[in-house]
Amino acid sequence: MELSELQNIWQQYDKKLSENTRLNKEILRLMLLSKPQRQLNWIKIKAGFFILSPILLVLFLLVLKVQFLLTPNFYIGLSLFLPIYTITYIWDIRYFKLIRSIDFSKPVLSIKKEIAELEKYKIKKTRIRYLLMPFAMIGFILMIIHKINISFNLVSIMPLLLIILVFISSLYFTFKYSIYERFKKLNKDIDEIEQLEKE
Amino acid sequence: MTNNRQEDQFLDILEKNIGIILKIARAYSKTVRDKEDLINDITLELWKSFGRFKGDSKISTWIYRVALNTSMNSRRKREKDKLFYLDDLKQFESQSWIIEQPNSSHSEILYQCIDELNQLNKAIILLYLDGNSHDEISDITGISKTNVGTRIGRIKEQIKNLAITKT
Repeated sequence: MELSELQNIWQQYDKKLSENTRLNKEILRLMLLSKPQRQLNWIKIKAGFFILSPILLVLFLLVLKVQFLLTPNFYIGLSLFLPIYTITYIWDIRYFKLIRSIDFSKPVLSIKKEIAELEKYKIKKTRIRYLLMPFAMIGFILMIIHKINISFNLVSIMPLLLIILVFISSLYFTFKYSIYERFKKLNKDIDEIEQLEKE
Repeated sequence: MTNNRQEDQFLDILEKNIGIILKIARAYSKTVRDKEDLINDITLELWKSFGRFKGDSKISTWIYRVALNTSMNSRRKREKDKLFYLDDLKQFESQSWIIEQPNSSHSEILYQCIDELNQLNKAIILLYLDGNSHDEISDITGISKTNVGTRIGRIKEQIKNLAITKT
Protein backbone atom coordinates (compact mmCIF):
# COMPACT_ATOMS: atom_id res chain seq x y z
CA MET A 1 0.00 0.00 0.00
CA GLU A 2 1.46 3.36 -1.06
CA LEU A 3 1.49 6.43 1.13
CA SER A 4 -0.75 8.39 -1.25
CA GLU A 5 -3.29 5.60 -0.86
CA LEU A 6 -3.08 5.92 2.93
CA GLN A 7 -3.62 9.66 2.67
CA ASN A 8 -6.71 9.03 0.52
CA ILE A 9 -8.03 6.60 3.13
CA TRP A 10 -7.44 9.24 5.79
CA GLN A 11 -9.23 11.95 3.85
CA GLN A 12 -12.21 9.67 3.21
CA TYR A 13 -12.27 8.72 6.87
CA ASP A 14 -12.16 12.38 7.85
CA LYS A 15 -15.07 13.19 5.52
CA LYS A 16 -17.07 10.26 6.87
CA LEU A 17 -16.39 11.38 10.45
CA SER A 18 -17.64 14.91 9.88
CA GLU A 19 -20.72 13.68 8.00
CA ASN A 20 -21.71 10.98 10.48
CA THR A 21 -20.77 12.40 13.84
CA ARG A 22 -23.50 14.11 15.78
CA LEU A 23 -23.26 15.68 19.19
CA ASN A 24 -25.99 15.46 21.78
CA LYS A 25 -25.49 18.97 23.07
CA GLU A 26 -27.81 18.57 26.04
CA ILE A 27 -25.88 15.65 27.53
CA LEU A 28 -22.62 17.38 26.71
CA ARG A 29 -23.77 20.59 28.40
CA LEU A 30 -24.66 18.65 31.57
CA MET A 31 -21.31 16.88 31.46
CA LEU A 32 -19.40 20.13 31.06
CA LEU A 33 -21.18 21.62 34.02
CA SER A 34 -20.82 18.66 36.33
CA LYS A 35 -17.41 17.15 35.54
CA PRO A 36 -15.22 20.22 36.05
CA GLN A 37 -17.10 20.60 39.31
CA ARG A 38 -16.05 17.06 40.23
CA GLN A 39 -12.44 17.77 39.31
CA LEU A 40 -12.59 21.02 41.22
CA ASN A 41 -13.87 19.08 44.21
CA TRP A 42 -10.92 16.72 43.99
CA ILE A 43 -8.51 19.66 43.80
CA LYS A 44 -10.25 21.31 46.73
CA ILE A 45 -10.07 18.12 48.80
CA LYS A 46 -6.35 17.81 48.08
CA ALA A 47 -5.69 21.49 48.74
CA GLY A 48 -7.79 21.33 51.88
CA PHE A 49 -5.85 18.36 53.14
CA PHE A 50 -2.50 20.04 52.56
CA ILE A 51 -3.59 23.36 54.02
CA LEU A 52 -5.33 21.77 56.99
CA SER A 53 -2.58 19.26 57.76
CA PRO A 54 -0.92 21.56 60.38
CA ILE A 55 -4.29 21.80 62.15
CA LEU A 56 -4.60 18.02 62.02
CA LEU A 57 -1.11 17.82 63.50
CA VAL A 58 -2.01 20.21 66.30
CA LEU A 59 -5.14 18.12 67.02
CA PHE A 60 -2.97 15.01 67.10
CA LEU A 61 -0.58 16.70 69.51
CA LEU A 62 -3.52 17.75 71.68
CA VAL A 63 -4.84 14.18 71.75
CA LEU A 64 -1.40 12.99 72.85
CA LYS A 65 -1.34 15.84 75.38
CA VAL A 66 2.11 16.96 74.30
CA GLN A 67 3.16 19.82 76.55
CA PHE A 68 5.91 22.41 76.29
CA LEU A 69 8.56 21.27 78.72
CA LEU A 70 11.70 23.07 79.74
CA THR A 71 13.80 19.99 79.21
CA PRO A 72 16.70 19.50 76.75
CA ASN A 73 14.94 16.43 75.31
CA PHE A 74 11.87 18.44 74.39
CA TYR A 75 13.82 21.28 72.76
CA ILE A 76 16.11 18.93 70.81
CA GLY A 77 13.01 17.01 69.68
CA LEU A 78 11.20 20.18 68.66
CA SER A 79 14.21 21.54 66.78
CA LEU A 80 14.41 18.27 64.84
CA PHE A 81 10.72 17.81 64.18
CA LEU A 82 9.47 21.32 63.43
CA PRO A 83 11.88 22.38 60.62
CA ILE A 84 11.44 19.02 58.84
CA TYR A 85 7.67 19.23 59.08
CA THR A 86 7.68 22.86 57.85
CA ILE A 87 9.97 22.10 54.91
CA THR A 88 7.90 19.10 53.75
CA TYR A 89 4.70 21.13 54.15
CA ILE A 90 6.09 23.92 51.94
CA TRP A 91 7.21 21.34 49.33
CA ASP A 92 3.76 19.76 49.24
CA ILE A 93 2.09 23.12 48.71
CA ARG A 94 4.62 24.02 46.00
CA TYR A 95 4.10 20.68 44.24
CA PHE A 96 0.36 21.19 44.31
CA LYS A 97 0.71 24.71 42.88
CA LEU A 98 2.99 23.41 40.12
CA ILE A 99 0.44 20.75 39.13
CA ARG A 100 -2.27 23.37 38.93
CA SER A 101 -0.14 25.66 36.77
CA ILE A 102 0.21 23.13 33.93
CA ASP A 103 -1.55 24.51 30.87
CA PHE A 104 -2.34 21.93 28.20
CA SER A 105 -2.71 24.58 25.51
CA LYS A 106 1.10 24.94 25.35
CA PRO A 107 3.12 23.08 22.68
CA VAL A 108 3.49 19.34 23.17
CA LEU A 109 7.24 19.42 23.87
CA SER A 110 6.92 22.12 26.55
CA ILE A 111 4.26 20.10 28.36
CA LYS A 112 6.31 16.90 28.10
CA LYS A 113 9.26 18.75 29.66
CA GLU A 114 7.14 20.40 32.37
CA ILE A 115 5.63 17.06 33.36
CA ALA A 116 9.01 15.33 33.40
CA GLU A 117 10.39 18.16 35.60
CA LEU A 118 7.37 17.84 37.86
CA GLU A 119 7.93 14.09 38.22
CA LYS A 120 11.56 14.78 39.04
CA TYR A 121 10.52 17.28 41.69
CA LYS A 122 8.14 14.71 43.16
CA ILE A 123 10.88 12.06 43.26
CA LYS A 124 13.35 14.50 44.87
CA LYS A 125 10.68 15.40 47.40
CA THR A 126 10.07 11.72 48.21
CA ARG A 127 13.80 10.98 48.45
CA ILE A 128 14.60 13.85 50.81
CA ARG A 129 11.47 13.11 52.83
CA TYR A 130 12.62 9.53 53.32
CA LEU A 131 16.04 10.74 54.44
CA LEU A 132 14.64 13.30 56.86
CA MET A 133 11.86 11.12 58.24
CA PRO A 134 14.00 9.22 60.82
CA PHE A 135 15.13 12.57 62.29
CA ALA A 136 11.55 13.84 62.45
CA MET A 137 10.48 10.59 64.13
CA ILE A 138 13.33 10.77 66.64
CA GLY A 139 12.41 14.41 67.28
CA PHE A 140 8.78 13.49 67.91
CA ILE A 141 9.73 10.63 70.22
CA LEU A 142 12.04 12.98 72.17
CA MET A 143 9.14 15.40 72.57
CA ILE A 144 6.90 12.74 74.10
CA ILE A 145 9.56 10.59 75.74
CA HIS A 146 8.49 11.59 79.25
CA LYS A 147 5.14 9.87 78.54
CA ILE A 148 6.71 6.58 77.53
CA ASN A 149 7.62 4.00 80.10
CA ILE A 150 10.57 2.24 78.60
CA SER A 151 11.38 -1.17 79.91
CA PHE A 152 13.91 -3.24 78.10
CA ASN A 153 12.03 -6.47 77.52
CA LEU A 154 11.04 -8.14 74.24
CA VAL A 155 7.35 -7.12 74.38
CA SER A 156 8.19 -3.40 74.76
CA ILE A 157 10.95 -3.35 72.17
CA MET A 158 9.13 -5.46 69.56
CA PRO A 159 6.81 -2.65 68.21
CA LEU A 160 9.80 -0.30 67.92
CA LEU A 161 11.83 -2.95 66.11
CA LEU A 162 8.91 -3.59 63.75
CA ILE A 163 8.62 0.15 62.95
CA ILE A 164 12.36 0.33 62.21
CA LEU A 165 12.23 -2.83 60.09
CA VAL A 166 9.27 -1.61 58.00
CA PHE A 167 10.90 1.78 57.53
CA ILE A 168 14.25 0.32 56.44
CA SER A 169 12.56 -2.14 54.03
CA SER A 170 10.44 0.61 52.54
CA LEU A 171 13.52 2.85 52.20
CA TYR A 172 15.50 0.05 50.54
CA PHE A 173 12.82 -0.91 48.00
CA THR A 174 11.91 2.69 47.17
CA PHE A 175 15.50 3.68 46.56
CA LYS A 176 16.69 0.52 44.86
CA TYR A 177 13.76 -0.34 42.59
CA SER A 178 11.80 2.83 42.15
CA ILE A 179 13.53 6.16 42.60
CA TYR A 180 16.88 5.72 40.82
CA GLU A 181 15.49 4.00 37.73
CA ARG A 182 12.69 6.52 37.38
CA PHE A 183 15.07 9.43 37.96
CA LYS A 184 17.49 8.14 35.32
CA LYS A 185 14.67 7.71 32.81
CA LEU A 186 13.30 11.18 33.50
CA ASN A 187 16.73 12.78 33.05
CA LYS A 188 17.09 10.91 29.76
CA ASP A 189 13.63 12.08 28.64
CA ILE A 190 14.46 15.70 29.53
CA ASP A 191 17.78 15.50 27.64
CA GLU A 192 15.95 14.14 24.60
CA ILE A 193 13.34 16.90 24.75
CA GLU A 194 16.04 19.58 25.10
CA GLN A 195 17.90 18.05 22.17
CA LEU A 196 14.71 18.13 20.09
CA GLU A 197 14.12 21.78 21.02
CA LYS A 198 17.68 22.70 19.94
CA GLU A 199 17.60 20.85 16.58
CA MET B 1 -19.14 36.93 28.41
CA THR B 2 -22.05 35.23 30.17
CA ASN B 3 -21.78 31.56 31.05
CA ASN B 4 -24.50 30.50 28.61
CA ARG B 5 -22.97 32.42 25.74
CA GLN B 6 -19.57 30.95 26.52
CA GLU B 7 -21.08 27.45 26.60
CA ASP B 8 -22.82 27.96 23.26
CA GLN B 9 -19.65 29.30 21.69
CA PHE B 10 -17.66 26.37 23.04
CA LEU B 11 -20.19 23.80 21.82
CA ASP B 12 -20.14 25.35 18.33
CA ILE B 13 -16.35 25.18 18.20
CA LEU B 14 -16.46 21.62 19.47
CA GLU B 15 -19.01 20.57 16.88
CA LYS B 16 -16.94 22.04 14.06
CA ASN B 17 -13.72 20.41 15.27
CA ILE B 18 -14.95 17.15 16.76
CA GLY B 19 -13.12 15.20 14.04
CA ILE B 20 -9.75 16.29 15.46
CA ILE B 21 -10.67 14.97 18.92
CA LEU B 22 -12.04 11.68 17.60
CA LYS B 23 -8.99 10.96 15.46
CA ILE B 24 -6.50 11.78 18.21
CA ALA B 25 -8.46 9.83 20.84
CA ARG B 26 -8.61 6.81 18.55
CA ALA B 27 -4.86 6.95 17.89
CA TYR B 28 -3.95 7.19 21.58
CA SER B 29 -6.25 4.53 23.02
CA LYS B 30 -6.35 0.76 22.88
CA THR B 31 -9.99 -0.03 23.66
CA VAL B 32 -13.37 1.53 22.91
CA ARG B 33 -13.84 2.34 26.60
CA ASP B 34 -10.42 4.03 26.70
CA LYS B 35 -11.32 6.03 23.62
CA GLU B 36 -14.59 7.22 25.17
CA ASP B 37 -12.80 8.20 28.37
CA LEU B 38 -10.16 10.02 26.41
CA ILE B 39 -12.74 11.93 24.33
CA ASN B 40 -14.40 13.02 27.58
CA ASP B 41 -11.05 14.02 29.11
CA ILE B 42 -10.04 16.03 26.04
CA THR B 43 -13.41 17.80 25.95
CA LEU B 44 -13.15 18.70 29.62
CA GLU B 45 -9.57 19.96 29.27
CA LEU B 46 -10.68 22.07 26.32
CA TRP B 47 -13.58 23.45 28.33
CA LYS B 48 -11.29 24.21 31.28
CA SER B 49 -8.79 26.05 29.08
CA PHE B 50 -11.43 27.75 26.91
CA GLY B 51 -11.61 30.73 29.27
CA ARG B 52 -7.88 31.30 28.87
CA PHE B 53 -7.93 31.03 25.08
CA LYS B 54 -7.44 34.56 23.78
CA GLY B 55 -7.23 33.77 20.08
CA ASP B 56 -3.42 34.17 19.90
CA SER B 57 -3.28 31.04 17.77
CA LYS B 58 -5.70 29.33 15.41
CA ILE B 59 -8.57 27.47 17.10
CA SER B 60 -7.42 24.23 15.50
CA THR B 61 -3.89 24.75 16.90
CA TRP B 62 -5.32 25.20 20.40
CA ILE B 63 -7.50 22.08 20.00
CA TYR B 64 -4.62 19.98 18.66
CA ARG B 65 -2.34 21.07 21.52
CA VAL B 66 -4.88 20.34 24.27
CA ALA B 67 -5.98 17.06 22.66
CA LEU B 68 -2.43 15.79 22.18
CA ASN B 69 -1.23 16.87 25.62
CA THR B 70 -4.26 15.30 27.28
CA SER B 71 -3.84 12.07 25.30
CA MET B 72 -0.15 11.79 26.14
CA ASN B 73 -0.81 12.31 29.87
CA SER B 74 -4.22 10.77 30.28
CA ARG B 75 -3.50 7.47 32.03
CA ARG B 76 -2.28 9.02 35.25
CA LYS B 77 -5.21 11.42 35.41
CA ARG B 78 -7.79 8.70 34.81
CA GLU B 79 -6.47 6.59 37.65
CA LYS B 80 -6.67 9.61 39.90
CA ASP B 81 -10.24 10.36 38.77
CA LYS B 82 -11.41 6.86 39.66
CA LEU B 83 -10.71 7.54 43.31
CA PHE B 84 -13.40 10.18 43.42
CA TYR B 85 -16.09 8.75 41.22
CA LEU B 86 -19.41 10.23 42.32
CA ASP B 87 -22.63 8.24 41.93
CA ASP B 88 -24.69 11.21 40.84
CA LEU B 89 -22.60 11.55 37.69
CA LYS B 90 -23.19 8.01 36.48
CA GLN B 91 -26.40 9.04 34.75
CA PHE B 92 -24.44 11.25 32.37
CA GLU B 93 -21.76 8.67 31.77
CA SER B 94 -24.20 5.95 30.82
CA GLN B 95 -25.46 8.19 28.02
CA SER B 96 -23.05 8.98 25.25
CA TRP B 97 -23.04 12.55 23.98
CA ILE B 98 -21.46 11.54 20.72
CA ILE B 99 -22.81 9.36 17.94
CA GLU B 100 -20.25 8.16 15.43
CA GLN B 101 -20.01 5.54 12.72
CA PRO B 102 -17.64 2.58 13.08
CA ASN B 103 -14.31 2.88 11.25
CA SER B 104 -13.72 1.24 7.88
CA SER B 105 -11.24 -1.64 7.63
CA HIS B 106 -8.84 0.57 5.66
CA SER B 107 -8.73 3.27 8.30
CA GLU B 108 -8.29 0.52 10.93
CA ILE B 109 -5.13 -0.66 9.12
CA LEU B 110 -3.86 2.89 9.04
CA TYR B 111 -4.50 3.25 12.77
CA GLN B 112 -2.68 -0.04 13.43
CA CYS B 113 0.36 1.36 11.60
CA ILE B 114 0.16 4.65 13.52
CA ASP B 115 -0.16 2.71 16.77
CA GLU B 116 3.33 1.25 16.25
CA LEU B 117 4.92 4.73 16.37
CA ASN B 118 6.15 6.50 19.51
CA GLN B 119 3.97 9.22 21.08
CA LEU B 120 5.64 12.17 19.39
CA ASN B 121 5.88 10.60 15.93
CA LYS B 122 2.25 9.56 16.27
CA ALA B 123 1.33 13.21 16.90
CA ILE B 124 3.39 14.41 13.93
CA ILE B 125 1.88 11.94 11.46
CA LEU B 126 -1.66 12.62 12.68
CA LEU B 127 -1.08 16.35 12.13
CA TYR B 128 0.48 15.66 8.74
CA LEU B 129 -2.36 13.40 7.57
CA ASP B 130 -4.83 16.06 8.67
CA GLY B 131 -3.20 18.39 6.15
CA ASN B 132 -1.35 20.70 8.56
CA SER B 133 1.69 22.51 7.14
CA HIS B 134 5.19 22.03 8.58
CA ASP B 135 4.85 25.46 10.19
CA GLU B 136 1.64 24.46 11.94
CA ILE B 137 3.06 21.10 13.06
CA SER B 138 6.08 22.95 14.45
CA ASP B 139 3.79 25.39 16.26
CA ILE B 140 1.67 22.63 17.80
CA THR B 141 4.47 20.29 18.84
CA GLY B 142 7.28 22.74 19.63
CA ILE B 143 9.72 20.92 17.29
CA SER B 144 11.62 23.06 14.78
CA LYS B 145 10.31 23.23 11.20
CA THR B 146 13.41 21.52 9.78
CA ASN B 147 13.12 18.70 12.28
CA VAL B 148 9.43 18.26 11.41
CA GLY B 149 10.39 17.78 7.75
CA THR B 150 13.09 15.25 8.58
CA ARG B 151 10.84 13.32 10.93
CA ILE B 152 7.94 13.20 8.49
CA GLY B 153 10.26 11.67 5.88
CA ARG B 154 11.32 8.95 8.32
CA ILE B 155 7.79 8.27 9.60
CA LYS B 156 6.46 7.98 6.05
CA GLU B 157 8.99 5.21 5.34
CA GLN B 158 8.15 3.50 8.62
CA ILE B 159 4.40 3.61 7.94
CA LYS B 160 4.86 2.44 4.37
CA ASN B 161 6.77 -0.63 5.55
CA LEU B 162 4.25 -1.31 8.30
CA ALA B 163 1.35 -0.98 5.86
CA ILE B 164 2.94 -3.53 3.52
CA THR B 165 3.26 -6.07 6.34
CA LYS B 166 -0.29 -5.47 7.55
CA THR B 167 -2.09 -5.69 4.17
